[in-house]
Amino acid sequence: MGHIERPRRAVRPDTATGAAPALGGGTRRGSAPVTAGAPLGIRPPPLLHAVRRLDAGLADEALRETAAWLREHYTNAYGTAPLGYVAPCFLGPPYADHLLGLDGCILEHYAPADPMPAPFPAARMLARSGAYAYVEVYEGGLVLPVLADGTVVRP
Amino acid sequence: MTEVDRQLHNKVDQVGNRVLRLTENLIAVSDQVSAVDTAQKQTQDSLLALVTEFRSFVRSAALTANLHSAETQILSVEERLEREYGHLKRVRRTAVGILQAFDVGLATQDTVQQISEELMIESPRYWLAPALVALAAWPRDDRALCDKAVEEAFRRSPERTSLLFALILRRQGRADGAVRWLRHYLRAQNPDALGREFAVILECIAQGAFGPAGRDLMKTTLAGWRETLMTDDEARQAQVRRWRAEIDGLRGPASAQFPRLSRCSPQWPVLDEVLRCAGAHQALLDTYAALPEPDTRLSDRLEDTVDDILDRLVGEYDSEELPYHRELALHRAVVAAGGDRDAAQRATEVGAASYEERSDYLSVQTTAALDPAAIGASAATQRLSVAACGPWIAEAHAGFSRDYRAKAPSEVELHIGDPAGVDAGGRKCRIPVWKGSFNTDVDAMERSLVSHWERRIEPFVQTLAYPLRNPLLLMAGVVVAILLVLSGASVGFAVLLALFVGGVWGVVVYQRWDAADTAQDDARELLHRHKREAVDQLRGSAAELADWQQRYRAADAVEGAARTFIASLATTTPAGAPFEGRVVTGSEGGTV
Repeated sequence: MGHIERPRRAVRPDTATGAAPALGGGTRRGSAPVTAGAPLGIRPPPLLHAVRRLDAGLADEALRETAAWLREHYTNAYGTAPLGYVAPCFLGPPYADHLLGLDGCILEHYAPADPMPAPFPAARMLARSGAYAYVEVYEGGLVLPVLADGTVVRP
Repeated sequence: MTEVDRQLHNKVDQVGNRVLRLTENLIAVSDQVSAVDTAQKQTQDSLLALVTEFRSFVRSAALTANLHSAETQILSVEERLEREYGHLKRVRRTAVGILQAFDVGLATQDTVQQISEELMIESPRYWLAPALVALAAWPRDDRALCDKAVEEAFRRSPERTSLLFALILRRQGRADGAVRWLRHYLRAQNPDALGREFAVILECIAQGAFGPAGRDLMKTTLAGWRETLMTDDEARQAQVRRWRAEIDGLRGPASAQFPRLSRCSPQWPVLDEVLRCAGAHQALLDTYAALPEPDTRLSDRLEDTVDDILDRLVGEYDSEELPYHRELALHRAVVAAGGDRDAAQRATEVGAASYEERSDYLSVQTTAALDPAAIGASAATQRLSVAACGPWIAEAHAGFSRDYRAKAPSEVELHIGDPAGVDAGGRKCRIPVWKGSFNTDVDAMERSLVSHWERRIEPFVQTLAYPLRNPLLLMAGVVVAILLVLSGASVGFAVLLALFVGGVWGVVVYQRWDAADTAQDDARELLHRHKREAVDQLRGSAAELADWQQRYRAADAVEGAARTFIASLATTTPAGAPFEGRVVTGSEGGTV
């Protein structure tokens, strides 16, 4: 497949923004209006920040904690959590995009020619367009691009 | 030399000559077959060009015929409209005329009464005619007639009559009565099925025509409707679909600036489509950021403002006329599309809701924004409606952007080569179509393409070589045979004959070998030229792809500006703004 797992490094919790993923209970900060039954509510800044931090080279333990916090936050707020995220990769060539899996918390970088496992390929060109902060991929193939301000593009 | 030997020699000679003639004949036949093949290819190419030209001619002729037919139909429908509903124009003109005549006191009550009664007789079933009788009875203080006429007008068209009297009372400065009629009108409305006259309400909002009391009433009522309808997912989706169709219609034209890519890349149709879609952002900005400014010379006289709105109310065609106007819109769309019926059909489908007899409040707002002329809305109303449609435009725009971005091909391939092969050295050189992907380095693609051709050029050229071995062996055999057979009789004669036969034969073989060698050189050169053209094609396609990517990125980057603009619609014109707009000063001098 040709993808290379990026080395991870442990980072300290971001005390400035208070966006460090909470363990267990997962403090729900900045809760946004949520559309009941559909994960279409605006993603609050702490959530956006946490997703961005998944790609910040976290240590394995921190990565798992962030993923757990995200899963819990999504489930509490929207009733469901995505399988993972596809986002543009800023490592530069040959990598174009990366996949952040919440289940098992995989972080993989992909070159344009590398195939991504299903159901993530549908999100790749959206992520590579650079217009979205990240693209959420749900079980069943639902793809929800999220803009930098947290707005979700309705399916 | 014995007689037998001589005969044998003659026979061998004859056989040799026949073999030579046979070979020449075979070469001639091969040349002819090749010529026929070339001629057939040329004929096929010509035929293909002819078919393409013919199809283009047929299409152009069909478009012209459609255009002419649509123009004729427009005249015909207009004539039918004039014949069947033309008399209503007089009623419409008279309505505002009577009010203005009363204003300046230049018409006697008798004349007004006479004209209104004439119109009542001339215009059966039309709602405005009894309303005019009521108007004429009003200054005469003939309450009984006035009530009867209002009841008849109300029976014929409750909505329009309510609105008409609301506006007339407002015009006459009787705010309480106007608001009562307005409340009556609004309460009778079902926001899911508003009549076409509802556009007048939007117009009143834009013009601030009903004063503070009416404004508050409309604000409360319309905000309630909007809230109710917005919770209906289907109603919201319907508006989003209309805006999506509008944005789809803003896509740019197909590009003719990427000839190599369009010829060699199987992904070209998608690339072109995606680039066209990306161009819609700028078109959207150009269209809606530059909406015509509302007329800044709005009159401060209540009468003038209300008369403008009354003109719109009475000028709005009746439901009976709708089928004609729908037909007219289709024929006009055919003319606008240069005779393309499919394009016209698509265009009219986008605006079909504008010609519905009844539509929900959200649809009326969308129609006022998208097709103000269809419901007689002014530029001011259009601007306010576009602002009110902000959430749907945003959703439609976001969905549109997501869809074309997702459609962009992740891999752009190139297929270079002609599966029909290349005519070289009298034969068909079939080099398979080379396939490459821009996901790999362009230099690597070029190396692959060059190798693809070179691997096949030399083996093909070798097939054109003259097979020297057999003719030389045969020639040597014959010469040796001559020497062996005839040397017994006369060595000198045998040597001379062998030299003669060997010489002549050698010259013929040499000529053929030389001709084949030349053909090989020509074929080699031709195929290398094709190889260079293929490489040029690859480099050109790579350059065009880089150009395409640059244009696509530039066009796609405008999406942010378009999104900001759409979001700004809500902030520049907040929800309450239509009601906070200007309030016309009444004739009594106070702000009403």
